[in-house]
Amino acid sequence: MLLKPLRVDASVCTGCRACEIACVFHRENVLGTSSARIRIFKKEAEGLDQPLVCRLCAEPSCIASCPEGALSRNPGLGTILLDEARCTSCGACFGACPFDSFSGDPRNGKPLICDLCGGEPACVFRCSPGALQTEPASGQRDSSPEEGSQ
Amino acid sequence: MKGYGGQILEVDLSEGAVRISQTEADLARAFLGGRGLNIKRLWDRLPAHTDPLSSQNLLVFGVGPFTGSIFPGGARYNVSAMSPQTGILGDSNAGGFFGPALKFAGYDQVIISGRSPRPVYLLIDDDHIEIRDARGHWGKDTHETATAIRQEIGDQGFEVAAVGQGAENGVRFAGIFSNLVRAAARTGMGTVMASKKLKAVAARGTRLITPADPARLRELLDRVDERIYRHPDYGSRSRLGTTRLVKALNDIGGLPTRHFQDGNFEAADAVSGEAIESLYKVKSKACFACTVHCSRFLRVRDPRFPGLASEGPEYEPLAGFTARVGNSDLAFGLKCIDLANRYGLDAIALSEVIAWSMECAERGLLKKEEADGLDLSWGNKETILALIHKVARREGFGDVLADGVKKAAERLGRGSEALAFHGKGLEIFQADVRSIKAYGLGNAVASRGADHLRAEPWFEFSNDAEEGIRRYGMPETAFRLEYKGKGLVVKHFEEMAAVSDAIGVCKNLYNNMEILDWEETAAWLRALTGFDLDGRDVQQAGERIVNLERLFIAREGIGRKDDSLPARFLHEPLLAKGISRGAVLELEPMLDEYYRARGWDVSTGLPGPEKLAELGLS
Repeated sequence: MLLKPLRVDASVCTGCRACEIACVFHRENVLGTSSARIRIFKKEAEGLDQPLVCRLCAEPSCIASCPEGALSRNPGLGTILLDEARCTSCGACFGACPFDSFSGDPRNGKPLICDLCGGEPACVFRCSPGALQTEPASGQRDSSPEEGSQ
Repeated sequence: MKGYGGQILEVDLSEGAVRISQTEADLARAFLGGRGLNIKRLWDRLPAHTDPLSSQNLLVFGVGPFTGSIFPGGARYNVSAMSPQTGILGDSNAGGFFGPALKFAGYDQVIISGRSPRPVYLLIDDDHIEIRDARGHWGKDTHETATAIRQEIGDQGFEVAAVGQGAENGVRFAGIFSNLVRAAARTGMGTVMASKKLKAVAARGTRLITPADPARLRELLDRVDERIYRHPDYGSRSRLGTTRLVKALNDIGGLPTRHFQDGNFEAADAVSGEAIESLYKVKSKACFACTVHCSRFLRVRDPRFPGLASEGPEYEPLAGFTARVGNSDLAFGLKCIDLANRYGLDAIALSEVIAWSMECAERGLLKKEEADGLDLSWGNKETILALIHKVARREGFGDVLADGVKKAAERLGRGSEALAFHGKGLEIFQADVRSIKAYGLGNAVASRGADHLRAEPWFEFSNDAEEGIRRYGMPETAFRLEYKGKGLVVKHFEEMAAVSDAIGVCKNLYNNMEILDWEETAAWLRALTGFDLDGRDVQQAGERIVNLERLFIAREGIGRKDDSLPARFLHEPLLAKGISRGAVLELEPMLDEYYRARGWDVSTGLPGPEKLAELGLS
């Protein structure tokens, strides 16, 4: 079943970055933000908190940009797959993404592209203001934990 | 080390030398981190009577095992030094994102010594440490500094903690500011930083901290999420944060109106958190990983203040620039807060020196000519604005006020000292302690001077007599106008506050919402660090920190005689509507009870050898 990209509402994002640490903790059992596949871009003086995350483009520029063919689409879920063995950390994909939706792993320079955790994104679960939501195939929106408690 | 950054960074600004060493596991276990490890460091390395503005002083930044963990509100860092304002322990704590940056860079503590010959800023980029020229930034406010340094480094991912012009000019109550408004404001830690010619610290970390038991951490996190979302306070805190206290304190007659002459403020509604929410709030804001998001971004559309927009405010500056100085104009109050943040000044101290001046003028103790010809009527906006600028620049009468209310009153004399509302030289907060007596006791005995965050004994608001008996054996503990039992309450909450500041979590969650008790705190620490701690160990760590801080200030001559508060609170009946009317603070019996609860000598207010040995502090 092809996944839909996260619905992002920057107007309620509190800039807390719980999504970043949730991403890392969920995937790697460690605490930090540098290998997160979602990042919050901020302009503090303006109150801007913009979550940046893979938009699951219909025709991904990242895949097209890779000289090694290391990026592809997961046929089942539709998310972006990285073949680590093929990736040479050349960095072409970072600039190719029109949404600046991913950065490089500081440990090896390889792209950290969100794969929606296979369908149950850890960041959505953690997001208390409901700035991040999944869109199931039916089009009904999942509620955030905070909405559920009210 | 699991759960910790693992390293101590030492920077000698006189030599330009940098040293990285391992965090001592035995000290981390005993003092937990943050404020606890900071006081241990100051105690071990600072001689008695260290001149706070000399190169001998140390400026210590500390984070805890919960800082940058996934615990909601695990965002905090602590700054400690000898205070140039009080001459005793300087200690301040802030949220935002700077603490996690230090943690992810791999540091539990940064110790800054000496003094640079020229203005510099410290760059911390994981292992890469640089002392960089900051001459081009000297003279900038805290916001401009952060923007300029991020631009210079070329990476917005750096968190910047900076001082403003107030610190540069030697205002004794200057703080350290990050993320525009996250302030380690109290006791002049910014003043110490500027005295070392250190303009800012810029930090970024890419490390990933390994917890001892990630599976257990997940279970604990689920429980904490549940506790937070279901907490009866969650609704008001997530909407209004501490700004809700304007109305809440007005309801109990506890506002600091016109320098504590009245516990109610006729304009309370107009300057309340609810007013901010309806007029200016854009959206909620939060510290690192916090699910309460008690802060907000606001935008003021007022032709007098073009472009006024910022995160904030907390209750303290809000009440300080409204009720305390008799100002009923909310937008103007917000403008004052913005100026205080930019100049990098402690808003509590700043509001007190202004309010003190106004009351002195009202009572004929201060003449207009002595205050640069300013009209010191309550709420005079031109005057308030002028005084903020003068204090920050140490100009004219501002130069008198810039030393803090205690020294300003000593300079003026004429009995104005009785109107200087401080404890041990630190200005008292924005609530009238006659209406909240445990807070009164907490202020009187706080180790950094009059302060509510050393204890934050919210339980006296509960009105839950059964719970008071269950916890402390006394129903009076649950009622804010009672004085009996408050010694026990303050002891307990002081240890909670100490642990909160040591592990690096927000006291709104830890003290006020009581999200974790001792056993649960220990469970988190075991899962994060692998230290074999139980609830009793955690409580004892809190007790150890409180006792060591007491030793530190006792070494500077502090004892029972200094655990006092201004006469107004002790002897003048509170003017207020409702049941708080007529209240005074019965400090002496509360002190007796508190010292007994602590196992300290009742006449000196100091711990004896048995108590110190019990805590491993001999």
